[in-house]
Amino acid sequence: MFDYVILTDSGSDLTVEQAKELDISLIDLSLLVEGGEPRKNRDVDVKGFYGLLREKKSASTAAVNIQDFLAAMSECVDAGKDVLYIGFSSGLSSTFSAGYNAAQELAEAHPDRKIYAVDTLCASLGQGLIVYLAAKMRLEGKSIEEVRDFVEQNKLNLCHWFTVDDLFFLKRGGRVSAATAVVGTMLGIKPVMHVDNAGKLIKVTTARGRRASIDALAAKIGETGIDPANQTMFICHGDCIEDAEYLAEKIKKDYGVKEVVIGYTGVVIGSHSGPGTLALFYLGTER
Amino acid sequence: MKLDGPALYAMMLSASNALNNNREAINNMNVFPVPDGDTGINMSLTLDAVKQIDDPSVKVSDLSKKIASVILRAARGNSGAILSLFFRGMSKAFVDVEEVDSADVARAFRKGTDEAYRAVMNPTEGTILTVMRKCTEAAEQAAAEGRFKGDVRGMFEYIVDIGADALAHTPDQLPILKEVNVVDAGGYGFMTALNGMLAALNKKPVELINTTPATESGEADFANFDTDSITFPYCTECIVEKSEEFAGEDKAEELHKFVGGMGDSVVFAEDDTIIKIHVHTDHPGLVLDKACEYGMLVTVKVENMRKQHSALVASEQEVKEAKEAERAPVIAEPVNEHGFVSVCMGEGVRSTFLDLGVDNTIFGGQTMNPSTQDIIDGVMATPAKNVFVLPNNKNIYLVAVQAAKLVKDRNVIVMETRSVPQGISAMIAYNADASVEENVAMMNDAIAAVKSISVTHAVRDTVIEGERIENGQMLGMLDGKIAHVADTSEECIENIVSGMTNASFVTVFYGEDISEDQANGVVDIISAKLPDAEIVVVNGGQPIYTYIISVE
Repeated sequence: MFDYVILTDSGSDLTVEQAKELDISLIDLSLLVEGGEPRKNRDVDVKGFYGLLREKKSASTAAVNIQDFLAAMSECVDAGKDVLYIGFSSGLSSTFSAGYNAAQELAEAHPDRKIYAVDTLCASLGQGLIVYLAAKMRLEGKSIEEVRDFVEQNKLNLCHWFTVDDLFFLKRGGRVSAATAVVGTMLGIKPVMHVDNAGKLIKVTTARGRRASIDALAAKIGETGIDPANQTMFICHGDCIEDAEYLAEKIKKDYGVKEVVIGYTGVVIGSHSGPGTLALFYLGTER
Repeated sequence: MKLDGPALYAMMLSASNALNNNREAINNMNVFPVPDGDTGINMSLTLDAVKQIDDPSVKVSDLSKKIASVILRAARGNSGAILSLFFRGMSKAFVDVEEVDSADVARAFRKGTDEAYRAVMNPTEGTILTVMRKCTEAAEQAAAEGRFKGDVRGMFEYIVDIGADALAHTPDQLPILKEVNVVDAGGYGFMTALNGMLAALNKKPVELINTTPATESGEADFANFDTDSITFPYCTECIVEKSEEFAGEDKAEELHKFVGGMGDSVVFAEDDTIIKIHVHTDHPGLVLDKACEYGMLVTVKVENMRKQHSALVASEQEVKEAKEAERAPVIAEPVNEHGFVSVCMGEGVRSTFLDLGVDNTIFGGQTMNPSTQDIIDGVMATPAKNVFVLPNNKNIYLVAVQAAKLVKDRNVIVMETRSVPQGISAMIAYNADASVEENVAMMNDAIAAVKSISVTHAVRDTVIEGERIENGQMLGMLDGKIAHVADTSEECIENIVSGMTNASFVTVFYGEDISEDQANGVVDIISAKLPDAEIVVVNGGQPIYTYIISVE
């Protein structure tokens, strides 16, 4: 048993099983699919969700509110534990802000308890990867402050590189113009994007065709990866497992990456990036 | 005998007429049998600009400045650009000169030759440059030896003799010329101009006998086309951003029907946020009004096709006037950081560039090289501080560089795109958030990664590298060089892609005479040879080339 709880939200795309394994608490954002009721993240079947997206159903997610955070954190405090909340990028959701405010409020009520909130400025399995590294440190016996400082100091080294297969979803989210989406689709232009230091999704470059875009993700390790042979890297995919496996094989072959964990791009990012999203996460010299 | 302003003008006019009279002969000396025999036209149109000078009775120094300026702006194609630079250099040598003597002529040849050489990055011997240089060396030597002192005519005659000899030897320097048994076309054009100048000195200036207007290319095609067959004169295009009410797909069927009833050549595309309309109609206003009911107009373009067509078959003078009217100086405020001007042909190719974010396109390509002034106009009509120019052809690059130097109040960057695929890849690589330098680097990387295949038909019988090419056969070119000759486009493409490995992405732009089915047949051929590649097909609508294909 640890004397502090690591809490993260479902923006991290960690599954309930992974959370259990790492002994961390997971709080859910909600998904709202066109014509349906809002559902907690963990109640959503991801494969089915991508099926709905392929039918061009629109989907959106709702942030975790302050009440839910207060309830989750209070439970820990009442059990006599400190809390470290490692949250989803404030550049993409108001979830972190709710978590931060809940932490402040609770800390005032319980001056004897340590309640910290860190804005990772990360998303998806990028956030998942830094939570994973935090959980490993706790396992090594590091204190809550040590883990908090590690996350603070390394969050801007957590590189997120991703590409999408269908520009329709970026267009719907207003991330590319309608005209760009039309010509981009016609010419097979694939954006190569990342999450910048402000925690926002931005387009960095483009590639011609799917394979070139996936190869471009792998090439980023060559540009910024720190000691790739000794890293565990995360890959997530929007229901395109073959592409994820191709990328995993490629980075093992090209850079000798020690271990690769593949997961789904969850509903939070997936709603905006669509089926065919493929993302790579690792520690680098800069984002 | 010395030379004054009016005499110099008479020489230039005579040179211009001589080039005009001989332009077909020069066109036909083109080495490659691809339909780009435009050296004669380009050189002729370049020198033709001297006719714009209304008062030649001024001092030599003022006149040559004027000549340099008009010729520089009218320059087209590589040979035209080199010719214009030669005369520009010459005119610099005539500054502060009232009457030219033979020593001035030698200095002028030197200056002109130096300017021309400087503009060409990898000067090739056995071309117009060699002829210029040999003329210059002879003139300098003659001047140093004190020959022809005040005798400009004698000096010129001597230079022309030397030049003719240099021209005759170009096949010894450039094997390809020897192979097809011609002298260099640009050099021939240069000598034609010098001969014209000499004729004027001999008081027998060349008169214009070639009266067919220089409509640059495809004259016959355009002339055979009957204006009356254009039923609906206004080509009307717009993009509508749909209002809430019509969001979603297939909500504008009624508009589609309405547009269909307004004319012909209807293209109607709709997705859930925009509608794109293209129609040839009598009533562009009604179409636009109706479109407005579905949302906001994002872009609108209306063109009178009868006028466009008439301009193509009009006399030389009319072409000039039409061009000038069209050129009613559109100068856009440089409000944006970056802007793009792209040279291209074919509606599909053009709209692809526009959709990719190009601000202005200039009509032109292999057989129709835009002038320096055309490019300057395109740049000035682009509302940006930094304007990237994509020439998309090796014969247009030099003129674009020249245009860039003439634009003073904005930063012009000429990218070395030698084909349409390279231009498209450069646009795709462009990132609005990056600096000019970063973009140049990214675009250059993209340009280097593209292989361009183009297929066109041979316009005459010839033999190249021992291979017989017959008029009408298809020529498959890879990065500007003939790679395969066959009876069909398909065979050419199949052969060229067979030699490629590691291709991941192929774009096929099919030309105006190719059907979608034929293009899909080519896709099957390519995918059989390059099974790992993704292939997309675009209706490029380009003339001359049946296919333009990029392989990355």
